[in-house]
Amino acid sequence: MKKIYLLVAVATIVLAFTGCSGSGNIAGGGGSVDTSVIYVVGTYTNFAELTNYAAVWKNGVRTNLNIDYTATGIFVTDSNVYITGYYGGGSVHPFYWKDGTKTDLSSTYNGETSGVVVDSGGVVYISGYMDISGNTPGYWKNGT
Amino acid sequence: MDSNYLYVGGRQTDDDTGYDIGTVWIYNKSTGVKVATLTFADPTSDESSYVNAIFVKSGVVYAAGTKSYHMGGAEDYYPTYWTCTYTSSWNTVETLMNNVAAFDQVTSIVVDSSNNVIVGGRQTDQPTIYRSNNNSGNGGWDSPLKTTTDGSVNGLYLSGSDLYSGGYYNDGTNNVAFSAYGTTVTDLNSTSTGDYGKGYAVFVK
Repeated sequence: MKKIYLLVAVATIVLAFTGCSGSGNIAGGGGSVDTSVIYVVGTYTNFAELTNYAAVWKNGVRTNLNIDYTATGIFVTDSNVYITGYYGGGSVHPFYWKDGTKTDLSSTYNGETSGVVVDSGGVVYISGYMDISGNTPGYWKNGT
Repeated sequence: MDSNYLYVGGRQTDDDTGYDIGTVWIYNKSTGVKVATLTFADPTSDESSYVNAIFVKSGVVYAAGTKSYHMGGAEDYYPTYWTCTYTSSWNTVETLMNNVAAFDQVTSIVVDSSNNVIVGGRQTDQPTIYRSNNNSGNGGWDSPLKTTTDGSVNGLYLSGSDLYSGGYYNDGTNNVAFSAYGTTVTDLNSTSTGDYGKGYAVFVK
C-alpha cells in the first residue's frame, strides 16, 4: 500500500469565490480616472545597511516591514491590509502582519506562510506549513 | 462547491518513490473537515508534480505548477495547469504547456471572464505570462515583460479585465522588484546604490 507523508506545502490558499472587484475606473468627462491601488509584497535589500526586509509597495511607495523576513502574500479588505511571510534569519518561522503589526503563528515549530484570504465574514485564512515531525501543510483560521 | 469551501494548494511526497505529488486539499470552511484531495501525478508511473498556485471560479478548481516524467533517469519537465470540475466526482483535465528549460517555473494563475487561463512564471529565465487563448506562437507564452537574464512573474491579479502582475527581473546589476499593468512595467527599486528587491505577490484594491 502506498504511504504518503505530507512533506512540503507551498502555494496558495483561496476561497471559492475569487472573482475580483471592479477595476475602479470612474467614468467622467469623456475619460476615466483609474483609482486602483496596486500592492506588491516581497523583499527589499538595502545595500548600504546590508539588511534584508520584508516589504510592501503601495502604488510604488515602499514600506519596510521587518529585517530578515520575506513577505509572500497579501489580501486587502476595506479596512485592513493582511500580509503573510516568514522569518528567515536562521530557522524559518511563520508570521503575518495586520496593518503592519506582526504576529507569530508558531513559537514552537518552524514553518512558513504562503498566502492569505479574508472571506466576506471577515474570517482570515492563511496557508503554509509547520515542521511537525516533517513539514506538514495546512492553514490557520483567524491565527489558530 | 462554492464559498463554503476553502482550497489549499501545495504538494506532498510519496513515501515509496520519493516523488512529489502536486495536490489541492478542499476543506469545509465551517467544520474544517477535509472533503476532497485532488492529486496530479502517479508516482507509480514515474510521474511527479508541484502545485504552486490555484484559482477557483464557479466551483472549477484551476491549479498551476509543473509536471515531470522520470523515465530511465531522464526527466521531461513541463509547466502545467490542471482544470478540475465536479459533477458526481472530480474530473481533471491536464494541460501541459510547452517544454521549457529545467529551471523555468510557474508561480500564479487567474482565469478571466471568458474562462481563458492566464499563468505567470518565467520562460527561458525571463518574466513571462502564458495565456490559453494566445495562438501567436511560443506555445501560448507572451513576449517577456522584460528582456533579462533572470526574472519571474511571481503574482497575478485580475481586476475586471485588467491584468496586473508582480515579480522581479535583473537589470544587469541587481534584481529589481516590479509591478506591471498589462505590458507596462514599473520598477519598484533602483539598483544604482546596490539595492535590490523581489516581488512575490500582487493585490489590487
